[in-house]
Amino acid sequence: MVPHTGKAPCTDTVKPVNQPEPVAVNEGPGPVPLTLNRQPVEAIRDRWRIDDEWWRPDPVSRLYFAVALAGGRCLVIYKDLLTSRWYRQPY
Amino acid sequence: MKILCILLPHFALACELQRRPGLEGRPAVVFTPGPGTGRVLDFSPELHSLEPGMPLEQAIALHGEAETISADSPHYREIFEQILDSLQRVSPLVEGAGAGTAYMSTLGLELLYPETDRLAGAVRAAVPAGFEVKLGLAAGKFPAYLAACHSRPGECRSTGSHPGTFLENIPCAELPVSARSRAKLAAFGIKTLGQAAAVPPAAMEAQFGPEGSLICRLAAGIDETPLLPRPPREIITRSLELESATALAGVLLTGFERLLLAIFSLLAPKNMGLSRADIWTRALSGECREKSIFFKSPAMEAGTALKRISQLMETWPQPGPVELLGIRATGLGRPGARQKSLLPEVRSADHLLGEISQLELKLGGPQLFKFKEVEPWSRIPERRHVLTPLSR
Repeated sequence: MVPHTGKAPCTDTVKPVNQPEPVAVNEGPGPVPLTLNRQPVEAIRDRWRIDDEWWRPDPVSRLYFAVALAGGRCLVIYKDLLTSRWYRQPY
Repeated sequence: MKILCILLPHFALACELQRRPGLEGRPAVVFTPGPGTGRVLDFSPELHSLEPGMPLEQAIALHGEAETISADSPHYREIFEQILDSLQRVSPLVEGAGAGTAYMSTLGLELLYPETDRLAGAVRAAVPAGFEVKLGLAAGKFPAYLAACHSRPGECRSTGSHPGTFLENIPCAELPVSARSRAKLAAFGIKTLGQAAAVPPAAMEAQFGPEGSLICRLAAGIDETPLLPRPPREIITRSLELESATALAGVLLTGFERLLLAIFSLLAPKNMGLSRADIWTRALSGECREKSIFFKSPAMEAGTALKRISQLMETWPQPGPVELLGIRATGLGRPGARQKSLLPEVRSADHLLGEISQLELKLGGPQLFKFKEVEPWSRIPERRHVLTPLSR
């Protein structure tokens, strides 16, 4: 039996989920994604925009795309309209 | 039906005298070790001022010359069990009521022993030499016990057809009731069982509650407590003669395995196991060696018992090549039962959390997480859920 240290539970032990991962996207005008990690985007199934938390120091402004890649794989990616970077995110 | 009480006075001391004949004629006190210095269990008959249960310090203060012996209760119990085995050869209906006291039903024995003296002789013959025997015959356990207490060694005393007459002069201190009730009887000036029997039962109940009616019945020599016969001990003996005498431990173990398999083939259909076994060997020179093995919970398989014998053999040298070996299964038992939890789900959840907490402490951080909703309404996916440690 290991004795308890008596330390209080740490808040840093909470783990985020569905965190966005940076991806390399070649974009066309619009903007629309043309390739994702060098794989051509076959179709754009859906697109939507989120503008939220505009009252905070770090507001959120994203343009989401539900895309289908050449192999038939479906993904959700978005462009951060404030930093102009692309991310992949399970939605 | 009458009950015969068999009383073996100073039983613990008699057991010690059998083991240590040097104690014969010397005053001795057997004590049970416990908190402090212990309590007196038994003592030599000549130490009149001692009482069972008295602190050992007090006993030494009264009789400093007496030798003190720490009680070996398992040994006394085993000796008493052997005596009960012998008594069950006289009558199968025998109850052991603590070391040194037994009750025997005389149901049907009148055909074998038409006279009480012949029955008493058979009982005395069943008790090994070295133990004093007092016998009491009555219609119930309590009067039979008192008759035995007030008989001379070797004598069988009967309460006769009127037990009340026999009991009338016996002090109330002998009643198996609470000390408070005994003190109250003394305060009322009721000193003997005869005086207690003369009090109307209603008056006795009014003063003593439920114990009042018990006092009335016992004082009149009426004890309807049933006799609870002990089940006879089953002993299975198997032996094996080796084709050629050997001292090789492996060969001896194989022999013991065969014997165990034979014993367990008899026990398995009854769902019984082995709780005690005596194993013995006989060497070519004729020298015999014997050892007892005990199992905390009965061994239900031959393999379990063989493992113990194998461990024992490592520290049990044989005098020479062995030609005969055997096992006597003297203790049989059933597998132990486990109480089921009343709240199994709560208990298992508590147990799981305890294990998780131990894992975290060992590995230095949370290892298992649970999925928790934080802002399920949020449009931003990473804000909706987090993983929190399972133990929090």
